Amino acid sequence: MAFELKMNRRGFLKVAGIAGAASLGYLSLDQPVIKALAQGTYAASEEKWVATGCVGCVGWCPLQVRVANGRAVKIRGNQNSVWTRGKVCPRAHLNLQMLYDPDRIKTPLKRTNPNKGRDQDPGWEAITWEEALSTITLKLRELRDKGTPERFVSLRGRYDSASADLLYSRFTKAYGTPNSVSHSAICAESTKAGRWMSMGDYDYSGYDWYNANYIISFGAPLLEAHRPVTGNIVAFGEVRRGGKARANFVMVDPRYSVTASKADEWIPVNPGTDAAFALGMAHVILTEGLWDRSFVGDFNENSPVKGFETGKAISEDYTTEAGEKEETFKEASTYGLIKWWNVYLKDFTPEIAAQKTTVPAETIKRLAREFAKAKPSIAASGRGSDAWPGSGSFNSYAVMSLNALSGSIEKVVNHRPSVKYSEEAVKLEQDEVAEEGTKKQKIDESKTKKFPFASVVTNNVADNILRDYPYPVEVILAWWSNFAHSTPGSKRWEDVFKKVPFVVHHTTHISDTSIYADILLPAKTYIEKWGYGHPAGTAGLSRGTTLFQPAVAPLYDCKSELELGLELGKRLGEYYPSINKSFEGIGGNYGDTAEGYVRARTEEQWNAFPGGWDEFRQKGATNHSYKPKTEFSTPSKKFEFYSSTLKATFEKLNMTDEDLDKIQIKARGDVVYVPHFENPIFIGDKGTYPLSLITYKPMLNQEGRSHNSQWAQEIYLPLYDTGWTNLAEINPETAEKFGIKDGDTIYVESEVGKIRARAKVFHGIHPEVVSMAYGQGHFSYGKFAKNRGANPNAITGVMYDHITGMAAFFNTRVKIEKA
Amino acid sequence: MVRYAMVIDLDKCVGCQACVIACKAENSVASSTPDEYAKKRLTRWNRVITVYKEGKYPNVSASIMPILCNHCENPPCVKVCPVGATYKREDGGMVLQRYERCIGCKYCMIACPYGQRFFNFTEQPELEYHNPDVPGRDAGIVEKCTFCVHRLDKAIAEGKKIGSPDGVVPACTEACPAGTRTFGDLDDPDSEVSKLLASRRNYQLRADLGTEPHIYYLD
Amino acid sequence: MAYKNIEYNKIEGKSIVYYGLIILFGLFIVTGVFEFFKTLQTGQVDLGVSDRVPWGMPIVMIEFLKGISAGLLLFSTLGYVFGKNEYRSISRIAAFLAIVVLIGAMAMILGELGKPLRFINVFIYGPAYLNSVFALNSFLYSGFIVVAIAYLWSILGERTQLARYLGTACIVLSVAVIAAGGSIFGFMIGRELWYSPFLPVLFITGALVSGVSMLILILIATTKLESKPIDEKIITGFGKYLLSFLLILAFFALIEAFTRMYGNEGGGEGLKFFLTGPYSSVFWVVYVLLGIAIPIGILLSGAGKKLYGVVAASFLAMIGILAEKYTLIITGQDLVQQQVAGRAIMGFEGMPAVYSVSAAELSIILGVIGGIGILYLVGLRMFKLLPSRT
Repeated sequence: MAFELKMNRRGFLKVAGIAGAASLGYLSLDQPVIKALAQGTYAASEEKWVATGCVGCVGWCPLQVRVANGRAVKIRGNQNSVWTRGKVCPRAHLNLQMLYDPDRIKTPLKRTNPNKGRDQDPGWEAITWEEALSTITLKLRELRDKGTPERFVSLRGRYDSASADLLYSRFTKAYGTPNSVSHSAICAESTKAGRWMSMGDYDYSGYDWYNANYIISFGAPLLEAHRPVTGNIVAFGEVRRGGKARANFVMVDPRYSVTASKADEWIPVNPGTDAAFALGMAHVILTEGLWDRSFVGDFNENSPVKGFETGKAISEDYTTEAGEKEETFKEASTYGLIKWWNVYLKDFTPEIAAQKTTVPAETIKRLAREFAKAKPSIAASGRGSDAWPGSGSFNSYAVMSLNALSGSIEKVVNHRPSVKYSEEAVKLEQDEVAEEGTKKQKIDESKTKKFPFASVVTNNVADNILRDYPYPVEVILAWWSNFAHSTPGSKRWEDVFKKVPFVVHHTTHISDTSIYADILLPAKTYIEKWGYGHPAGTAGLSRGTTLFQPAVAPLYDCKSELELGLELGKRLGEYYPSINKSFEGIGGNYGDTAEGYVRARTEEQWNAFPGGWDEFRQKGATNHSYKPKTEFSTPSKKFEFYSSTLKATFEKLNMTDEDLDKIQIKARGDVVYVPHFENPIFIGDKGTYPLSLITYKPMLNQEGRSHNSQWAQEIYLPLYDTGWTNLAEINPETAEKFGIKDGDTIYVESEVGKIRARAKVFHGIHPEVVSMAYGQGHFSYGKFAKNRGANPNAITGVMYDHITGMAAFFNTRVKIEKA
Repeated sequence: MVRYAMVIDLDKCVGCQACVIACKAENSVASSTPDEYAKKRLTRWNRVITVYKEGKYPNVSASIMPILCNHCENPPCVKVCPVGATYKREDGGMVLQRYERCIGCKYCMIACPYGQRFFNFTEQPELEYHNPDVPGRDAGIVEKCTFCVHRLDKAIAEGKKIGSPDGVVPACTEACPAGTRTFGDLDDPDSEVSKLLASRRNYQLRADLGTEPHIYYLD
Repeated sequence: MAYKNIEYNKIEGKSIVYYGLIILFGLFIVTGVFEFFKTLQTGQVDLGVSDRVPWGMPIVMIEFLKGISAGLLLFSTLGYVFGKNEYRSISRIAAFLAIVVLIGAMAMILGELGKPLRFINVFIYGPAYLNSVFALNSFLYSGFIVVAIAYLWSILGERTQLARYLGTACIVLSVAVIAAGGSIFGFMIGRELWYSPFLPVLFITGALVSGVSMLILILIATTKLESKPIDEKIITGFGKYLLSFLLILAFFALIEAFTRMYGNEGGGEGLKFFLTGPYSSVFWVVYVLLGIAIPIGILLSGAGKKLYGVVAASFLAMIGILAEKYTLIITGQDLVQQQVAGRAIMGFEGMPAVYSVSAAELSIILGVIGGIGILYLVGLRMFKLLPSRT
């Protein structure tokens, strides 16, 4: 084998080809493709498939990487994984180009130019990890020794469970800051809210496509960017032509998306009115008696009332002839249906829904009937319906209620099973500084009156840092996040990174955030590092865990987030005994390395294999079946149409009507706690800004990180067959009104700012909407990513679904003009 | 005789482009730069296109469909090649390109009704992740989809089965998460492709041209 | 008989103009050869062509030159085969130029190939693939040149009988070469604007127009070079030929358009693209107006009987034929190929590439023109080609 290494590949191929031809006889120079046979050719000389995982999104799909002579040359789904059926979504394939991207950060870098700005050359100077880490450690020690550890903020982006456990959670707690900020509140928090309000678990839903006959999606781009992507696509193929009856698929969205193009029916609605549509359907399901009796229950046999009539309240109980009080409606697995009906739903007719959504009432009625009759059915909500200010959580709640009415809960609309990893080998220790620090108010104001149930309010961190509220921030460690690109009003984050005196960014590319960093740390790509994870949401009844392990030796002088956490823990541990105790021996019997930690944490998983750890490494994935819940985590243990969970949260915070006003909830009294419709709130007045900007994530966007990959860029917008840019998509009617032609360069302007984009005139866009794909418009991310298209986040205004802290993405009004 | 064919079920396809990227990776197909893209020098053996009818909101009819070389029974590209660089292989019926014989006259690109042939304007750079099983391409020659002949031939040599659902298949077919593609022998009545074609209405792209494509579509 | 008294001369070739032209053409060749070697090194990266429009201006020029060459050869036989003895005097120069121009066209093919060094493959493998018009053409061209040289030799020696036979062979080969040129395009089922049995006929008509125009122009230019005025009757006589060919061409072009208007795949998108697309201005202005309408007008008017009128008409008609080849070849490639009948295609695959001629392609073309020019000038000095008035 030694001689191969001295030859370049092509040269070797020729030799191999000729040798192969001579020895095997059937390979002549005229053969178009040199065949790699078992012997004598380059390909087979050293080749293996390594199991690992994709950290491209929260799907954490199991992968297999083909490694030939030490180089990763192909990626496919892990054949041992049941829930992905051995497949993987297209984004995983991009990892190859990301891994070997020449624009990656190759060594730690130090800023030499103290001036920060888009136009400033940071003057990067290569430094060693030793220098980088000791500088960071020193800064962190200074803060801690001052007794202000809370002034350290960790900004997490894409992660896996290992780095989340160690760096996000343990490290910050041991250090003593409450400020572990994740990107979750620019992702899916309000979509979790529907489940939380109705069933008490604040998590993703899993849709069992395989057993569904009918799927209606409210703004959830199920086939493009809705977790878990692989699971959804695999299941879609199956439900369409898998042998059983072909499931019907309806997409509700103001934009004709890729998902809409694959649906049987596309229902364009006014932006922000998905909940009205769902509630109109709920009204029909009840008045026409189409609800699922086994899940929801039925009217009491002897009750004087036998059905729901529009506009008529129903008394919750009645007196029998014997003079006893009986429930009018005997609910089975639900709670509060009659209350919902009385305080809200009785008057929310399909006609009202029609008026809000501009979908004909007849269509709403028809879909309600189809949905209820075709059981089991799935109603899915997603970003499109839920990333709305004030109302997002309620929209998600309204859609979730449809699932209860059709009896789909825990049949095809499932909870996310928790996965148990082994306990960490050493306990978390906090000294006084840490205890005090972590008790301080978190900088994002989560769990306050402003954000009553938020676990994180990502975007609010920027505003608070800028106004030094509740305290100034001195050190930021951002890892795998790029908030200067990915958040609405992204410009504010640039100001944050300019303002904060010491910013460390741990990432793979010099991104929009990186150019403001003081120290840049090179991160490993997915298939170079250790970790573990399990998918958010499922698309069937099977689920699993994924092991991430290096498929190839790390390319450059990089560390993974897990390794960074271990390093920081070790270094600070030299000064603080509690931190030392929290980190020393964290890898249990397997050493305090990334591998050791992962091995210790997944003991639970690999012990199930006869071959133990080695077999787990070889298989790379575990498979488990799903156990439906019989009771929910609500006070009533039932599915609640009247959310006592929300009510308790509000009561605990003493929320007054004024407070509700402040968090943009218009409903009052009991209506607040039932699925209801809140009129969408927009930024900018309709006179000046007549259109509204909606953004979406194309399949190959991969959370904004794929844009230096040519594979992703060449086919960025498949529906429009357009690469290397994004487009300002408008309706022909709109285009005519503003004198714009397809392909024109136009300005899209909101109250927040103005961007230039190429116009796409397409009749699949709502006439009052400008639609733009997210992800392009990097001003830094490598030579291929830089300055392609425009970043719609730069002109998106800042508002929140306050209950969960989810940033609003679709409520910015804009005007357009020809550039 | 073996005649390979592929059936693409558009009802399953979600336009995710996994096939597109898997093909690029498997066959070391060159990536374009923005400049090359703007010049329409973009090599995509396998790609998705959107076909649509003009209409008025909200009546939209647009559908994404993957396309690749049709490996025609009656390939126009083979007819025009002056040196026999393009040929239809007896065994398997795939239309292949002899890179080392091609003179780069591009006549086959002109002849192909499907735009499935691509010219190498520059020499393909050698990249770390390129598949060692396929040769690099010189400047000045035409290349195209091979039905992953290197995979198929390797499988034959190793005595493996070929064709969906459990045999060796081209990279695009293997990569499709939705199971849109089925690959197999058209002449074998028991193959998955034959069964699918017998059971469902199907069509080929521009069958009116008489090329008899070996890629079949189901709606 | 008068034609027997024609004297032919070599030119002296000592004038400043002669050497000036040699130097100019030499520079052209240098440019072309430089570009050729650059392309060998780097690939066709500087050319204006793309995967959508793989054939650019060099191919257009090849077809144009082939037309001129075949047209010239046909006219060269007027005297020796068709007995139009008044045109015998121009036979030598026409035949010689036909050979030189076709050699130029072949050189251009070499310059246009992606792998020019593998050109020999056509002769190695070609015989087995004669169903390819390209393979066939390589033998047709070779045959054309061999026979044309023999024919030229026969008329140089005034071997009338032999010239008659060889001339007949030349006619057959000319028609074959030009029809095969049309077939390159006409046989392409996948190209809506090309697929037509009519193309070879259209190409032959174009060849006659450009051939006679070239003859007129070159006769005027060459005699100007040597200050030996030519018999105006020959020129005005050719003017009549030009007029009739132009009328036929106009008629054919009209039929072609009507056929497409009457019924067309995809609701006439192809014709719409042809007549209103990015290349339509070349079609309407250069081809229809400058190339057909104005020359016909000139030739029908009084100016048609004057030397300057015929020269002007010839010049315009030449440009027109070039524009015809350009619009046909480029537009035909750039028209989006429908995949599902009746459905438009979105975005990248659905939009034309919009070809424009690159400097590199111009260099190659200039190189070939330079080569043709020098060969012609040298030929004038080496052989007795020019008739002198008796």
